[in-house]
Amino acid sequence: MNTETSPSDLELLQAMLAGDEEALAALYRRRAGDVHRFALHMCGSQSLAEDVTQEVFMVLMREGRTFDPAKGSLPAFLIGVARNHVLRRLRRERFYVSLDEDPTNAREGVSDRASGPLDSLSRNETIESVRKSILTLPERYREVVVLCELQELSYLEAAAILGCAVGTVRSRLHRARVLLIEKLRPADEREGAEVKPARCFA
Amino acid sequence: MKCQDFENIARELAYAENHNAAPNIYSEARAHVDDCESCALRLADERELNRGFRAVKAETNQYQPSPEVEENLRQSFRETVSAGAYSEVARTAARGQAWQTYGLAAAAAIVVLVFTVALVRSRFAAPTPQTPQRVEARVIPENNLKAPMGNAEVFTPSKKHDELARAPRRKRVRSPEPVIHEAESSLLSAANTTSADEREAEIATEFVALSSNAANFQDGGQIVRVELSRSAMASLGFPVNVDRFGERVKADVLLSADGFARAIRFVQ
Repeated sequence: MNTETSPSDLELLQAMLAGDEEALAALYRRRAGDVHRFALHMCGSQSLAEDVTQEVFMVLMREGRTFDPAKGSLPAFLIGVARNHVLRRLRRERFYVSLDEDPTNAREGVSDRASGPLDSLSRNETIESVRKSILTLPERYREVVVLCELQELSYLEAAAILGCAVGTVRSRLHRARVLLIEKLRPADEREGAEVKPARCFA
Repeated sequence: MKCQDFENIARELAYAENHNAAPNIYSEARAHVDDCESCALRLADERELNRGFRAVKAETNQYQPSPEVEENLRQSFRETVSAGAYSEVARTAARGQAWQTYGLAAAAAIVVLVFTVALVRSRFAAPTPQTPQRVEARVIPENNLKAPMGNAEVFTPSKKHDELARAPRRKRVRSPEPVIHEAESSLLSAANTTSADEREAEIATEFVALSSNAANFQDGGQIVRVELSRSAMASLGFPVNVDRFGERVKADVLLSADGFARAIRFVQ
């Protein structure tokens, strides 16, 4: 019977800080994907996401001792560091993201809708349009979508990473989804929606 | 259920349906969707959005950073370890030492700067002598002033205080009448006791009071040898040869404990 269990993140971190290179590699392979995907969803640039991933683990190597498990998990810590780097880079290098707030332009490649906004699209087109729409969201909405919908973190974890209340995460996510639905809806339907009653009283 | 209530749970409903976990608690919401076209569209939009999210997740879950990133990290890690930088305490101490060095350098710079400024200011603020007085600075310690003055006539400011206080403060003393008396005798004797040879070689006038204010010499005092122009003698009422008016003459100035000149005598 194999009783060997994989070491925890904290154990790997401690081994890494003691100079164990394999611990760094194990930790990297375990957590680099999450960090990379978060950065990629946030900035839309593969090279920038890789830069951020490398930066995050460099920070972990330099300042890993400052990590306090009582304040949160290691993945949350890494995502938090990644978030800081991404936001800093986005503000410095805005050309990486085509921030187009006009919903009509964010819907490139989306044709008419038969039974839903994404049904008539191929899988790749769907992915592309959703990703583009996410990238057009304001940062505060984009990060909750990435964390809660794409990274599947709980509201509590997202709130810890973002440094805000759970209610704030919830309300931002609600608003972000409404914005995304608007962006993904075909242009003709959006125009028609203006004359549609906002709510019914059934 | 109203549309507003449905709006609040639309996301949860779509999420639960997508995960095949829609419990019966949403039955009321489903019933509302059957009756409300806009809420049905809203729910459909939520479902489509969830489907889009799932597609993006499925696609991007395969994304990983390139192997170069790991290799770069490993390389950095090796360099860090070989540099011994993982003794965090040492790093912190080194950082602290650097800060200490910077702090000391800054403090030294500040001290030098302050000293320089003080020096420059003192030089510029030093008063240029208005009168040709050259202080010889031969201060006679107070404890040497023991011997009585002998035949010096003594002036006691305390006794004549009322009388002198009525006199104008800047009134010139026209008469060389000796006015220093007993209270100051111990101090005045200092000039005569500094050096027997000097005393024999020097000819001195009696001390002439410079101030009408009472001086308390019980707290101590000093006699200072200075050089003045002979015009100063004239201003105190001494006879002066006009031809030698510009020459200099030595004088002993009696300073009270508060630093004021109380009396003067001229020495030759």
